[in-house]
Amino acid sequence: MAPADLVSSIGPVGAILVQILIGFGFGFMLEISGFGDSRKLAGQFYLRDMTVLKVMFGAIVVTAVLMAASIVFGWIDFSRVYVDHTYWGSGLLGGLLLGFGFAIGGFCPGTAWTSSATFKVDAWFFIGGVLLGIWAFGETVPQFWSFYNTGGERLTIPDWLGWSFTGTVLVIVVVAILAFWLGEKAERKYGKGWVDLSREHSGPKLVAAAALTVFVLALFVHGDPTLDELVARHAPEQDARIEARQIQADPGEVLGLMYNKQIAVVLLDCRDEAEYNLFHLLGARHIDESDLTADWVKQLNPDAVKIIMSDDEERAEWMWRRLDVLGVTNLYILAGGVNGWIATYCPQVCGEEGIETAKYEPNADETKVHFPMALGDRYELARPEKEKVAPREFTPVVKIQKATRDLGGGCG
Amino acid sequence: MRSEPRPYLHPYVGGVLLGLVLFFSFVLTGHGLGASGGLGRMIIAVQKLFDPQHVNLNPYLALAGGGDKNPLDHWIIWELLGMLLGGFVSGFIGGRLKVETRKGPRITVHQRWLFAVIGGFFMGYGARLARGCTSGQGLSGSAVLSAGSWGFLIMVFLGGYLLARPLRRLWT
Repeated sequence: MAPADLVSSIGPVGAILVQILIGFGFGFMLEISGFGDSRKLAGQFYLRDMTVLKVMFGAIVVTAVLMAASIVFGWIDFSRVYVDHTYWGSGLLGGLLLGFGFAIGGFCPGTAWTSSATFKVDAWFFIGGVLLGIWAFGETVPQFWSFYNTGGERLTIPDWLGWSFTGTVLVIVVVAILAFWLGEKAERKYGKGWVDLSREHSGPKLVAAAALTVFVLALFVHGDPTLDELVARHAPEQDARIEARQIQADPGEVLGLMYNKQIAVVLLDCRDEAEYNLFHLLGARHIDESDLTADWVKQLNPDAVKIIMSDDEERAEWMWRRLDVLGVTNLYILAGGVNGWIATYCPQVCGEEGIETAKYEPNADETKVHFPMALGDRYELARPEKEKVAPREFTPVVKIQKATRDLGGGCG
Repeated sequence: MRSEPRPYLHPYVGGVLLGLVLFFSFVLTGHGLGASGGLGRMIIAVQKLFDPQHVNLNPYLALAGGGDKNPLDHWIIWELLGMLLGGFVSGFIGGRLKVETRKGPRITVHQRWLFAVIGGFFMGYGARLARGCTSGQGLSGSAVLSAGSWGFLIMVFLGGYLLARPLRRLWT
């Protein structure tokens, strides 16, 4: 499923060639659309030449519609698509400065870069100014470092407003068609001498607009894929990882992580609340199906190791599949579940607390140990002292993947 | 070479094809397009050449160029190279390869160059503050429905239209 991992499929050189090819397409399309001409770009701000609006908004609409279709049909894993992170303060202020620069200089970095390849001298000077501005930014940003870094979550309009992806795209398509219509009205009124309207025919445009609207409407009616549909799509790769025991962390490994001060560990307990109240691992948080939302997942530290556990492994696997689809990284299962934990450590540490270890039955679907009181994680068993338990032999499975930190956006 | 340049592609056709390029960028690489970030990396590479310690001590510069990191080891550098080739080829086909300065009729060439530098400065500073320019934030981020990118894009056009009237001598 897309996006592809180019480096592993065609090697680093192939990935570079693809990237050059994408850049070629980008530069070619900018130039042939007239974005190499600063006066044409600036015409946008005088309502004379709305090419910028048409090309840019057109491209946004096409990509967004194709993305929505790919999500609906299961061609793309959107959680692996890079979405520029949202910084309301620095992002909006930067956008305003950029708009000033656009009106003064007539280019943006991408268009100037492309234009420079067709020997436009003003583009060379503009790039010089851009380089100066970037340099000045790098030298001054430490002065307002916290403002610059306030925010930074992956926030899509659907996440933000609680809309569906397809519904949001439908709204964007309708707004775009309105904007195109208004833009053309402006061109007819002010664009004399700037744009050539003799080639314009409204027939094909109306047909295209109607077809696009109907297509997106159909996507919207079908709706975003449900979590279960997404899980079904990911089943092959997930099954492979589960069967290879790549995600099941031994109780010994989990105990070691709990004592490791260098690593943030989040324990997630998905058993019944009553069982959780009786006993859970130290600091474990109770979760259930209602937490399987993008919103809930966002508050998890991406760099922390997340261990999910149920009585045995079955329900934890079920939750793992869904949390994995929701984009939770560094997510593992407690091998053997809480029952396995109890079977491993209870015989060694339970005696003094009066837990009847004898009643433990392996592979049972409930905790078959009698806890005299709902003490939660105040039992010694919740995190046995290392000295009191025998070290275990196991194959470590936890590999921490750090969330990538980028200088910013696709422009990174 | 043709004396009269060919007309540009129809804007809607251009928009659809540019959208396809952007979409295939997401499909093939997981990310969109960009420009200013690559220029930023070039600056950091030059700074590192002269004063690596300075790059290490600046938290922003260090993100791309600190320690043994090579600021140029990034997809965007290759993409920028491709953009130059693409722009050149399109310009060649269209008969637009010409050393010239595009400007409004009421200013001189030297004034145009000066304003290009000033505008570029704002653009460069703003683009890095916003973590992306019109390509990376405006185009790529908006296409995948980033809330911040839409806010950014609205601010870009707000900024442009705010200054358009006072600056009309530059362009009209």
